[in-house]
Amino acid sequence: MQNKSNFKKRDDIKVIITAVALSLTLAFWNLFSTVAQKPVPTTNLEPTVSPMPQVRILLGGPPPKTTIFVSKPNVAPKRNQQRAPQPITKTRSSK
Amino acid sequence: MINKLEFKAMGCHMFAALDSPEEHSLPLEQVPGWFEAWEQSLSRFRETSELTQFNHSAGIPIQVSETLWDVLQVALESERLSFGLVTPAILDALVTAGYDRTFDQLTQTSSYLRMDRCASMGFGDEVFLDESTRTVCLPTGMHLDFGGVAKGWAADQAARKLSVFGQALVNAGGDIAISGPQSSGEGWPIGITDPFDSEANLEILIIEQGGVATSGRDYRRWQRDGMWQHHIIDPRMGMPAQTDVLTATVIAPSTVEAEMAAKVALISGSEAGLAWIESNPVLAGMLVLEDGQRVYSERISDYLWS
Repeated sequence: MQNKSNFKKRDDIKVIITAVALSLTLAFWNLFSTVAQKPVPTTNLEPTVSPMPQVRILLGGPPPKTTIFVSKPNVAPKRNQQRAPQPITKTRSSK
Repeated sequence: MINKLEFKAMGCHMFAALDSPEEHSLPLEQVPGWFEAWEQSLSRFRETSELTQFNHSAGIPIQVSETLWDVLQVALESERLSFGLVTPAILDALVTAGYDRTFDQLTQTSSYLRMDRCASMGFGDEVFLDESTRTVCLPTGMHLDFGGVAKGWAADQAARKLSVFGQALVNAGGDIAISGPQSSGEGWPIGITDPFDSEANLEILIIEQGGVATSGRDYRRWQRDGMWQHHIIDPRMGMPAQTDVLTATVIAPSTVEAEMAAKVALISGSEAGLAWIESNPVLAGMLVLEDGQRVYSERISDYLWS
């Protein structure tokens, strides 16, 4: 019976050591990754046709900003018209 | 009030609109006459035209009309700006490709006369010009076709002449000149035709002034010896351009510039063509590729309605 109790105690110690080790690893990781991290650019998000953003996984620090990729230029609405105007004529290859 | 007129000239459908405070159809009624006079001077399909006579006189100095002189100057400038990609010295290449009669006649016949003559290329460096007497001498073997340059020039001229009576828009077979904004202050809404569905518009442009033109190989094409041919000649090859662009639409300060730039974009292909449009700050454009994909230049957002 005493042997069984000793084994249980040893297991508890193992669990505690593992938990402490994990906590320390995560704490140091967060600490160093925050120092090395470069600020994410918040301006000059130029429209680009490339659909392949550079992916960076961060642990700790502020969350990465969302980058929007577009293939068509942003178009400002013309004079707040709701419906498309009827074209007066059309351009096309010579006909 | 916008008065409108439709007619046929230069083998194309023409449209003219004049924005004037009252019903003012008299100026518009003159437009077909202007086009008829220009066509008589500039058409390569009329045996009696000045251009045909001029082409028969290669090697001999000829005094030309003001119209032919003006269009020659425009063609020279287009060749210079396009680094030789847009040149009128492509007539022999067009004929070799089978475009030896009007397009209406071409689509009604099945076999064409083969011309063995080599395509003569280059223009600006070889032609002799004397401005004081409007005398021109083409080198022997060179023959000119003004094609789209003539249509763009005619649209610009007609819009300019109509602008005396009010702001005008002239569409010469898809090459459109706009003299200024409508009396309401708004630009003119212009559709870009879908090359896969001629009834549909891919986009609507709002243009206050300048020119817009579309160059394409979707309509003026024909079969020769089982191969599809079209009318946009690549002067580097002396044959119809091999390109991934189906149609190119360009907006520019004038119609002749838009027409020239659209041809450059089409001949150059989508990548180089779009880069060339982007590199020129007065141009904006949209390309439709063979697979239906559309490619836009950055500056076209200034003109797109949405």
